[in-house]
Amino acid sequence: MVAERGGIQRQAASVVVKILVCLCCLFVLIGCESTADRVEINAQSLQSDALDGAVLAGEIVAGRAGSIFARAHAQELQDDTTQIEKNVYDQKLPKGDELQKLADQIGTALGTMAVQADDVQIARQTRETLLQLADDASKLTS
Amino acid sequence: MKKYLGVALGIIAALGGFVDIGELVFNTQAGALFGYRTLWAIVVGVIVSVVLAELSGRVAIVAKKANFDLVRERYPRWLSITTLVAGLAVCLITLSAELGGLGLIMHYVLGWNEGFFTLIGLLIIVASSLLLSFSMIERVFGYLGLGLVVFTIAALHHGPAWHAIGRGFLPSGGSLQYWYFVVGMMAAAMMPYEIYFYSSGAIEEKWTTDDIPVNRANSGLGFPLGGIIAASLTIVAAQQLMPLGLTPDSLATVLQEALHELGPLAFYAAVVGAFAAIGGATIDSAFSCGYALAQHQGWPWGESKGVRGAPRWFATVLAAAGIGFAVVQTRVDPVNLTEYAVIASAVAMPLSFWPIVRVSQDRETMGRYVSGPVARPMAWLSYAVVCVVAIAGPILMLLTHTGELK
Repeated sequence: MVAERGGIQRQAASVVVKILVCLCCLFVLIGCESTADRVEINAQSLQSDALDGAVLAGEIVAGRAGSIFARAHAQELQDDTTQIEKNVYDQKLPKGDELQKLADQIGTALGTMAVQADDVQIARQTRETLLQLADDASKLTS
Repeated sequence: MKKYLGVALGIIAALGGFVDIGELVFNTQAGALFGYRTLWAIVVGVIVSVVLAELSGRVAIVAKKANFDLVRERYPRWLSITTLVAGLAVCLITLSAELGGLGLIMHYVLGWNEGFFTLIGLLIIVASSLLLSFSMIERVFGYLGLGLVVFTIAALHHGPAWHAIGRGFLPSGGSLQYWYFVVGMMAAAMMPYEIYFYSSGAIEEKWTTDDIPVNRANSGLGFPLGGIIAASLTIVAAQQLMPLGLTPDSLATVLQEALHELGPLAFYAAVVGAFAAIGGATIDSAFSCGYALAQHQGWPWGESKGVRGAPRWFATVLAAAGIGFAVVQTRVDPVNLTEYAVIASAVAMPLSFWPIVRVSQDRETMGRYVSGPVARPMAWLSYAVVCVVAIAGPILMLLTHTGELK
């Protein structure tokens, strides 16, 4: 009786393992992304970072954002664009040069804001630049 | 009067403690991408979490058994170990994400390096678990978590589009990305650590059958009120971020919304609220690692027993916190980790919750507190939602590349 129960449990465990292996294979197959997808994902991320930075710059101009928060957030967004730039280089995408150039420009603007987080004049200029770059990024997504 | 006050304080703590990094990330991203259209997912998530919390609390009160006591008793050995491993893995991923989030929040307002603040966060968690009583931990973090109410105020201040918001509470269709966020928001509202913590908490606080109404009030009122904060995060993102086409990838963007709508004071209230909500969830998930392992192994457990009374439980909690800290030090992005934590939670839920649903309907164990004609179908319906979320979550995650693709 005990041996029979053990056998049933082993069979059940084996079925579960087989199902898990099949699911893993299925996930790997459906998880492959196309080159066009990668271009879109990277361009969307750049657009979002630029817009986020523009909103932050607007808060600095309005005198609402403290310099510590502004510096930390701008730096975080810059790090994100640097990572995107690296990803684009590694992935060798069709619009790779344009994406890399855009990432570099957005990163530079965010870096300037991070360094001089309490300078309203710089924030105002950066806001305009980032809005323009976000617009450029949106063109790459379509 | 004292009893009613206790109930009210418990509700407030549940309200403030409902939101964690999962809601802050998923709900804000969903609002930015889909406006109000995913609000119904919060309602479903809240209903399921209320049902599961009420069941687990009632079972803990009557049977004096917490979640993993039941897993050990009701499952064959191989399945109970599978459930334990899944539960521990999910709690550890959640703990890492929350700890990373804690470091980020402090970094945003105090400067310096977030790795340093993750260490400070770890020390706060360790000190709280060693120095504060269970109810103090629950209440301090729960009350401070009420700072997140600023998001509800921000939503009202902006001038809500009530008609569109109302339509958002009705389920609608959409792309795979839409469904990924729907599933993510549901899963974020019913993370397993919350149930492990809730059922173990009922035993920690020595609830008796006299406390069954308290259990109902905490879960039935506290969680839905917490759901209002969760919904506010989505509404504010729909109001501010969606028109810009901004999809947030950072906790700073979430806090910036409060700053943008209501100014610096609201920003700091949001910071305190987010810190407490994430800090509370960090402690809950660290404790839950201890609860899961100790209950499964039949060790003495519980914060109320003290280090001498439950040494292996405390050691597990501290080890879990240490592992969480080590994971964050690998420079993994806490926001990305949160998405994995929420989806991984979805997968672990059916195994963890099955024994609770079964025992709550077992007249021999529950006596006159057995689930009635309303609780029984609600439990099965909730369990069905949990299973759907568990299957759909990882598939949608892969198909949409963690919500990046439409």
